[in-house]
Amino acid sequence: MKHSPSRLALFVAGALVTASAPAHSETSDPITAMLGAVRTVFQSTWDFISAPLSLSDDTIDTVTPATPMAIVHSLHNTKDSHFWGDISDAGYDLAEIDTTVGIIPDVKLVFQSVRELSEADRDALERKLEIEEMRDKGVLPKVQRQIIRTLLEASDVSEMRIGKLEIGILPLPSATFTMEPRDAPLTSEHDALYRAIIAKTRKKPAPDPAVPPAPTAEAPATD
Amino acid sequence: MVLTAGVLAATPNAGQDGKSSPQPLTGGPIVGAGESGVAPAAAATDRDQMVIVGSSTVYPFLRAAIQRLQRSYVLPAPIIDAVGTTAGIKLFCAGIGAEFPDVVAASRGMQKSEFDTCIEHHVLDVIEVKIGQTAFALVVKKGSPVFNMTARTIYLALAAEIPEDGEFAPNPFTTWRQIDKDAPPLPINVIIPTAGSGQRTFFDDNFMQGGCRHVKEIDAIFAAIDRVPKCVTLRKDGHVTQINESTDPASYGELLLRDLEKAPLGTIGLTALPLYLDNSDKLDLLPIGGVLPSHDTIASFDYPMTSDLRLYFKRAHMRNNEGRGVVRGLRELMGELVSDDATGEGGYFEALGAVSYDDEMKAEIRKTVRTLRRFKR
Repeated sequence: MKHSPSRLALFVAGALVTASAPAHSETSDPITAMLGAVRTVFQSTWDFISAPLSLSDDTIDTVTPATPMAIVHSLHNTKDSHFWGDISDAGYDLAEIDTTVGIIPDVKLVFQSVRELSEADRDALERKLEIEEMRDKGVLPKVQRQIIRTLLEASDVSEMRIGKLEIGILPLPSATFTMEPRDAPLTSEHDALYRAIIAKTRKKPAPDPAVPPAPTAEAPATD
Repeated sequence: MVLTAGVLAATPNAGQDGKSSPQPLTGGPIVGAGESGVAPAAAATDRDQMVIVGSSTVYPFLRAAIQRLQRSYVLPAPIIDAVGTTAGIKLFCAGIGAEFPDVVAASRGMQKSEFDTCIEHHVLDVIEVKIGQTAFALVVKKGSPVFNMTARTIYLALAAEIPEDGEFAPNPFTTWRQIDKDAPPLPINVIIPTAGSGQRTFFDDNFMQGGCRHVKEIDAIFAAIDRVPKCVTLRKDGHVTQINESTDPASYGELLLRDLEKAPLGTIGLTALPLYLDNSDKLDLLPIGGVLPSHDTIASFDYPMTSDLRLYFKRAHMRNNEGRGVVRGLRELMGELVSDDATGEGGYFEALGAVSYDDEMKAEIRKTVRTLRRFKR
């Protein structure tokens, strides 16, 4: 689910148009009206993506993404949104925050699978989502629940799993799921680590209980 | 524990009033959909009696529905074997044919691994019928202090090993006060059913696994197969009593009442809410997360320990349009279970302690029954 160039270009155009528009435009001519409409769409999009993070909606913030620390703090504030708690319940934890400052800011939260779900974990999360669905029928929570449901469905596939989840906050909200085989070959780093552990284990064989331990020091002479 | 659900009318194709055609149950096209109103010859089915296995928690609701059903339909008394949800699902998923059960009653949902077993044995067309919600409650005998419980408290009280400084150590707690400073300094004693019961599975999943979820040391274990035993393995030093209902003719509820009566103060029992409602003169409820189970708190999902009561039916055991099949009465039973009389507000299921669903959910369940929609997991 990467951003397509055409979508990105459209957004860039929209953002530039919006940025150049007067703050309080009168709707006296069609061009100004269109600019006003674009601004409204932009604002709605920003509200949509910033709501779960409780970020400020000042205009400057639309081009200056929140600091990573602000995002981390907002993740712990789950009063307004169950989303981050649900991601944790789905067995994922925050691994990285990628931010780019610019006219088109870019913020991505990268989550990695840290826990394989048991059937009870899955059932509890499914029930939690059902309850949230009954209590909160808004569009944003619905999209968030769909992301969690995708994680749950993918965790049900026996051969593959979602190893990495990227939640794009800016420029457009997105979720990128990276699926990988459950028994994928080890990376070079993991392989080196694995070999080191094996080598260490071989150097220190477990003591055979049938063989008495060799004396480490001579017993002191006694009278 | 084999139970026979009441006495059914003996005259084929006649209601209790002796009229010749069965009275339709409420629910319009759901009831008897696809089945002829005239009972087919006995030879058209492989077996006369329905065989129902599973949860004793669901049994009172099932018994009431069958009693209602017999007012309109003439069916031999079903054979009901309350072996518990887990054992019931195992029997249900063992195969298709007259020697296998037609229905399983469950106080929890069928798990994926169980459904996989069903598919392995060619039990493909399973229909799930939810009949209402119930709550599982922690109770003490009258006179015992009432204090707030959480899943975390239960986990810390009953797990064989609990986290301590990044490692796992044998459970050191002996009184409730050691875990929660607001709890009384009474010894930890909990009575639960043995494995195999739906209530026990619910307890393991929601109290024990729910209580250890997001404990740092537990979360550090990636593989579920290694993590779950750390959560659900019970201590064996006398603080937990497990009641095996399958080896005792008395039901779990009766055994729990008997054991609680004799137990010291502070002893907690796990039960489905209907048992408490029937014995509220002998028992007190403990709040969980500060919430007591009631009709309102269950319906609003404020009370956390709730579960759907369900029955799973085998489509392959139902009669076809020619009246041939393993047994008759399955669709009629499904129709009765989702009828307004049963599951509506103030219906007879509510009188038995179930909480009915909202209209949207009820419509969805009726659609499942009407269209015989396959259960998916």
